[in-house]
Amino acid sequence: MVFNTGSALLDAIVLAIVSKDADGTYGYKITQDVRTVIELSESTLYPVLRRLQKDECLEVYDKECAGRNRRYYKLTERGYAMLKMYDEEWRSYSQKVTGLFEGGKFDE
Amino acid sequence: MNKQQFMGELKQLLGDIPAVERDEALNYYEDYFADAGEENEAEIIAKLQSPEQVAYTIKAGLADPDSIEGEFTESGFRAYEKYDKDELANTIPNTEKRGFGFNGQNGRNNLIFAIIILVLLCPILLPALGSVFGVIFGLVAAIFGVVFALAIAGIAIIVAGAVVLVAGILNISSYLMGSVVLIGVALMLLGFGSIIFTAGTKIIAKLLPAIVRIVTTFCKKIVNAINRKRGYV
Repeated sequence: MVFNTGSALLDAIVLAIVSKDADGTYGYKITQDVRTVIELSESTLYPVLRRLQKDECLEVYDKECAGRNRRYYKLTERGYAMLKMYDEEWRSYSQKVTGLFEGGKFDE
Repeated sequence: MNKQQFMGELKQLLGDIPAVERDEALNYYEDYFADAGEENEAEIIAKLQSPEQVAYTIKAGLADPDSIEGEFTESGFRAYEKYDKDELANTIPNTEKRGFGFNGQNGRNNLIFAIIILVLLCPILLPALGSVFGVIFGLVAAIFGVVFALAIAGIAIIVAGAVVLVAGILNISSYLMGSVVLIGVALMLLGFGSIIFTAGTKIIAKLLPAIVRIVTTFCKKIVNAINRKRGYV
């Protein structure tokens, strides 16, 4: 991809993907889902998930799956607030850029 | 290299980080391999590149949450441009602030430090702020006073001129020469007075909106700054 994905946008994408599953989702699936949106190496996501967890945007729980415990990630209330903020920021940002490309009006 | 070797090396490489973090990370990658499925083991190992690479990203994430400013792609590490996380954090409601304008990993400590200093400085800062406001207000009032006085002086001179003019006209039959002088002086006073008066009123007309504008923008800035610090914007 030509455009860089900053850590804020990566956080936003991860939060959005995790929020799709109300019951939460797990590391491998999150990585694969993120990779459908942006190119990203397989080892990049762990520190992001860990940080979001420490920032209390994500909470984790273990669930039995095929004879072992699988770690699930789920959005906290703060995570949803964060996602909402990212969503709004992204909308205004992308609208301005799109407006510029289309040559339309893009006033504040 | 198989999964066991990979995980073993990773464990060794993570020997110097806290046990909680090590277990957390190892647990994650155990899960990762299990969820990818045994048949994809080699592929995952290839995609993860090397235990060193994985250990590096884990440690980089631990060292400083904001240090992951790039991504590891197939073509190696790619750095991002620095993103202003502080500003972003300020726009989130109920967010613990990451810093107080200074960067670095001690952001939280800096914040506490800044709050302590602010509290300690309160007895000095508040009166100081008060006197600054007082001085600004005084200056504005003084400028206004001077300009206003100018306009009033103009009116007074015009009135005086009018009086002298009337006196001159009334006495023109008895003291012709004196009256002509009086009328001349009166006309000068009238002219001089109206110049001062118009100057004063023009300055007021320009000054008043300007001062109102400056004061309102200043107040707005303060309110905005407070709101931003609180995270309401």
